[in-house]
Amino acid sequence: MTREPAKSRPASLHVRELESLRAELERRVGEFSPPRWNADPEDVQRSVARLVLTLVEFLRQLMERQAIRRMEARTLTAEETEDVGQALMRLEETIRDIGRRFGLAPEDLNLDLGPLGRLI
Amino acid sequence: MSEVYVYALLGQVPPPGTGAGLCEEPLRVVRVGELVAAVGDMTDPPAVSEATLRAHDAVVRRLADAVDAILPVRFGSLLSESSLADLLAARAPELSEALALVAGREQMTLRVLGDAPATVETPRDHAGDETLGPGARYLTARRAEWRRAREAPELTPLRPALAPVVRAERVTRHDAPPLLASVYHLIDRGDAAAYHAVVEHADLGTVRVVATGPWPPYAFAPEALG
Amino acid sequence: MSPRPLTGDDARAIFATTDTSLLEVVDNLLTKGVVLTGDVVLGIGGVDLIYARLSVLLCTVDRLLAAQDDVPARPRGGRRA
Repeated sequence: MTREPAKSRPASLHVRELESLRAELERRVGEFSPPRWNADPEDVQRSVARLVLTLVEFLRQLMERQAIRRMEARTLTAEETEDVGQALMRLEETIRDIGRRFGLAPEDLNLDLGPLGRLI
Repeated sequence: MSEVYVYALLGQVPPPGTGAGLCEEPLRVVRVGELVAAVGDMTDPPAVSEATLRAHDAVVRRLADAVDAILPVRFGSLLSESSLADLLAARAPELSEALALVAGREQMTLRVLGDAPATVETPRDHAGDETLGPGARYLTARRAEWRRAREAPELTPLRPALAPVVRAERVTRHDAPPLLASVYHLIDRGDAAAYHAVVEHADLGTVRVVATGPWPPYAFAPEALG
Repeated sequence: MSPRPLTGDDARAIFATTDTSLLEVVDNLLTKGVVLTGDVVLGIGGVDLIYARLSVLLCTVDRLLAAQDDVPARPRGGRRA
């Protein structure tokens, strides 16, 4: 059975829409070469802070995802839900506070890992 | 040091005659339990170009034509055979589940286009809010955000017409007008014409949808990090 | 073993396409599909030092998540330290 992409139907992307899709894909795919974290010798502290906070934020999101899963599966008690929620909330605040001290906005806490996508 | 370039994960060993890999290398398999990885031996990863991307896609299509269930692997996946075997063993349950979902099926890609994303009025359960502490409210709000990022409310009027043909859905929101979202639909093989017919007759007000496909089910791989 | 980095020109050539089918292929092959590898290069002082293959990380995370899902839903007696 041959399965080629269906021939173009009456509806196809307009130029503006095509541009939009192209820009989105370019944004998501990022650089093709392996991403680099290279500590800026002028500001090693900030580079280290960025890497560390990125990793912590990654773990926070991983835990948040798991907590939501368990909340939906109802395998968290009300008390556990409250405790986990508060802990995640405080962790998010902490990451933001420490980031602010190094001049790092939430958008800076991202490490592009190529095929893994952006870490966050 | 030779490594293997992985094209796809299959539920069965493909029959002979699926051709060569994107570097003209012979295709072979790495098996771990029920999982079969279709691979080619390579020492360096292929450069990313239109030619290599299309060649990789062509290999995946030939494999898809030859087997019932296929999970396409991302371009550029070069690793040692032992690492591959370890990964397959560790992730066997979710990979088997994903293979079961895509068996006998293929993907249609729907781009949702418009000038503004649909705002969904989420009914606020105020009574519930008051009895929840700040932690629970936070987690509930986070859950709502997770869900919103995976939903395409723009397609609501189309749901009844789509239901008979759509077996599963994945959504990537862009919210970058005119590109609002990309929706990936899993359909039974052979239903592409019926799917296109539904989309062509769609009336979604200010929203437009454009469908392409069928494709091998790239969008129905399990999420990388859970 | 280190991969050939793609030049900016090659990337631009792909993204400069007006061929919608190529963009669909890019979407499928570079943003979708099973992820088996992830690489990052770590360095300092402008010198690349560590080329890390992250397939190990993927493996470990999945084990952790699977273990969590198996935890039975029993309310704990006391708070853990």
